[in-house]
Amino acid sequence: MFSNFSFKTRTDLARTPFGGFTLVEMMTVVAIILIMTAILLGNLPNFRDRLSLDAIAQEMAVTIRQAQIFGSATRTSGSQEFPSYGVYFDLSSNNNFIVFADLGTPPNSLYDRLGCAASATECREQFLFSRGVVVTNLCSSTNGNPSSCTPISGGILNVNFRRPLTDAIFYDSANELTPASVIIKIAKASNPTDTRSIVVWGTGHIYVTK
Amino acid sequence: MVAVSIFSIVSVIVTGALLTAIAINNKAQAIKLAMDNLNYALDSITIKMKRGRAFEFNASNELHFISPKDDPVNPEKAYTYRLDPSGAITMEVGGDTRFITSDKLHIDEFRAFVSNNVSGSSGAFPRAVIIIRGAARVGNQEQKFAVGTTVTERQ
Repeated sequence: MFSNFSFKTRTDLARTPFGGFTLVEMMTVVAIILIMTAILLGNLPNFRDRLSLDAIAQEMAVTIRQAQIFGSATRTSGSQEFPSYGVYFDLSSNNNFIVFADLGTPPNSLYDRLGCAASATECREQFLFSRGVVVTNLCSSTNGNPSSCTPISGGILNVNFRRPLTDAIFYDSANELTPASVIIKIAKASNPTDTRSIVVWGTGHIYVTK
Repeated sequence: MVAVSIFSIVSVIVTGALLTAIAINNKAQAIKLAMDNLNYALDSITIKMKRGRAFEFNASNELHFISPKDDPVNPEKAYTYRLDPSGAITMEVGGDTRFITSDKLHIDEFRAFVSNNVSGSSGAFPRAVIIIRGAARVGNQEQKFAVGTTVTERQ
């Protein structure tokens, strides 16, 4: 069997009854396979990072949509019937965001009873990012374009949904904002240039883009 | 030599077809996003409008109505929707104007036909038929659309 891997020419092999590959052909094929494997293995971590970033961005969009459904429908929270619901982002605590019920009379659209441990707070769910993903930017835009948006001053964003509307209402730490859309950008802390943007329009349209 | 040439030609064709398919898929998704954006904008108008009153579509092609007293965001305020020269629909309320459609959409026509707008005058419900025509444009791809909806005042 191994006698086929001697330095024979194809013409020599063609004459024998055991025609096969030459050593040079085999080495070339093995070298190509090794190079392709090395390229694939080298890119695998980046590929996994991009994939996990995409998955987390989609999960965020679904969670914001969940708050939209809770807010525009009739979900009670404790003793308060049908409060508005929202999501809260804070760049100073950028490895998580909060889904909150806007309790209090009258409701103020702000997440202002902080903390997810105590029962008296407005926190209903804390979304913790995995795999080193963080929120890198909170900004507003007139056209939903992530490449030309204006950062929200203070680095705090409340996105609120009040029944019966599906519209999103935006607040910073205290005041209502009136842009057409807000954009939440996420990235891996180790690679902040590769971002995903979750775009929330005032009309209630929520989607993920690059 | 012949084998390598055939392989190269087939590789180039297959790679080209794959890249074209990816580009078309991206554009199709972008157009779908733009159309979703239009649907949300139209829903946003109609959900507010059906709870409002005093429907009007004036000579300046502006759609007006007054929100109800129990509106959760802007109670008893005048809403005005109009077509911006940039091809987007804008919403004005409380002196503040904002875009409600994406820049991927170019709206050519925004019109409403209002009937029975004086509530209770004829016993019929105030009603508006809203028509939006335009195109979703991404790169060199374009998808024309014409959507319409009817809103009746809830009494």
